[in-house]
Amino acid sequence: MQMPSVRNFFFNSLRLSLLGGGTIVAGALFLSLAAAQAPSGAPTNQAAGDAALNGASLDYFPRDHLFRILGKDVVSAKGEDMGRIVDVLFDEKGEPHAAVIDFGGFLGVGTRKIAISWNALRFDLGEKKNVIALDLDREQLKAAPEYKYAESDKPIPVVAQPQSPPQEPAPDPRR
Amino acid sequence: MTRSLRGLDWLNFFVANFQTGFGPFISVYLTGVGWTQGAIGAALSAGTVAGMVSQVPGGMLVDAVRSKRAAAAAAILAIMASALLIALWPDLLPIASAEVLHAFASSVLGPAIAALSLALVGHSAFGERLGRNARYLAIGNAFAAALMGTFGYYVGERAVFLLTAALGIPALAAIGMIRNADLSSAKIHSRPAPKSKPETIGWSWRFLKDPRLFAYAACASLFQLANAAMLPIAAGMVTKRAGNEASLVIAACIVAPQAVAAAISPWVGRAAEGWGRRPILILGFAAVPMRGMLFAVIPDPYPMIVIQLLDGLSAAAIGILTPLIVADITRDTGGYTTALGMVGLAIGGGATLSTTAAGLIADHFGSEAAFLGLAAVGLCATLLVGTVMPETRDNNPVSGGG
Repeated sequence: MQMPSVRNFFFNSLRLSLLGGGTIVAGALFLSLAAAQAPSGAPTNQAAGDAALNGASLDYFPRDHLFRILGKDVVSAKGEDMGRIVDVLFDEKGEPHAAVIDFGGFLGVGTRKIAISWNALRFDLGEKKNVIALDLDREQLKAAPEYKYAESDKPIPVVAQPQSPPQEPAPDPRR
Repeated sequence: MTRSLRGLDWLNFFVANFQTGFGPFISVYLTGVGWTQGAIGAALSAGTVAGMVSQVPGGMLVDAVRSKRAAAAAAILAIMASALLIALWPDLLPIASAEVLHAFASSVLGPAIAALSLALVGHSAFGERLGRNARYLAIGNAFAAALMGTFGYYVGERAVFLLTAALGIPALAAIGMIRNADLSSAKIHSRPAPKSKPETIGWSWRFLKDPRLFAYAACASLFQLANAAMLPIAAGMVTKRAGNEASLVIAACIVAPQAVAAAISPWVGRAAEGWGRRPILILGFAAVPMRGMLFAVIPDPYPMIVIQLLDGLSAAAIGILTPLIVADITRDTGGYTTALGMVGLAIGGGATLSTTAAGLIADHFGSEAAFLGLAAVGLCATLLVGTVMPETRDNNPVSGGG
């Protein structure tokens, strides 16, 4: 769907039109997302031997084996609508550490982005196909501090499920 | 004539849907189809910039075009097209184009409806007519919010945009109900009364030298600077304090002021004719600092719904008085909707700055500080109206409209 020429066209037209520098950055973000959604990330098991790939291998996965995560609905154990995943935060080892969800609101008014520990997410995608379950409920999230990408000088608040050995303190919203 | 007026009622009702789906809701939809936040921001800011840039050209276009009905119909078709584009092709270029198209069309539609209303009833009954317009717009807004909330929840967000496109059809039918014969340009240009092409011959830049136009633009801009960010910040607080019922409370915060506006708009329109524009303007403006103070003092979810009722008063006052005062100022100049576009640009600038500035204050100093800041700006706006904005009502209408 995203042919390179098309991309170049819209990228240039965006640059030429009335949009500011932030748009170009955002456009680049979008491009990198589009690139990430292209069939990368497939583990190299069987060498496909396709000459056009210049030695790289190619695997095909069934549609119900791999899932995109942006925009996926998150529900609590009680079945409450908890919002949607809008970003994933990774640690230094490249492991996902937290999911950012867009929480609350009505018709997009009053939503807030909250980072939630990756451990609190349950991926029941095999059964429930389109939702991710969360071990936290609305009452636990409502007072959580907002995740702000722009605040590069502050630590990132991540809400987590309290561990059963009560070593770690319960999620304590600072405000 | 009654048929034309009825058509105008329904036009206002169905057009209200066009705003609801294209606001913050589009980011909900785009999030759902897997867009990154950066891309959503880019597409939405394309729409915001286009919305500002197109205000004055949109107004000039409506002034220049002979048939205001055709202008309104074309704008509705363009908005329907943009809704379909959003629903069927959620990629960056189509969505950004749809946002821009919607922004331009909106800049034509609003002035076109105001011009149609003025051409139907003339200056003498314009205030009352605008009151009626505002009532149907408010009912339409409440209806749209309820319908789209339901559709979004049970059917899916894409359906909301298909519904928006579909609701353009009754809007077009409503335009069809308005008879050309009832649209009297002579009512607008009663004094010079040129026979052919009054829109172009009667046109003069005279209104641009009118200090009242700039006084009102400044007041309205400051009003929106104080007003626009209030609901989003209040809704954010509701999300923070209420758990399960947060969505319902926010829905009530959106719908309740519309109910108030629907109830009081006809009265506001009549009072603007009877008492004059200034007292109503001051009343509507003063409601904003009051609301900001109350939000700062009582930050609990349920009282917020009650405080939001004040928004209905402000919305009705500014919604009716903006087209009314601009019509007063540009009377017999033929530049009515151009001037309306200029005021629209001032209002849009205030609104954009409001959400940005208040958002920053809320981040750094908390929501209470943001509300107090907005209240202070609202107080300045009210004082500005009191000091620089003269009464624009024509006290002794010289054969004006009859």
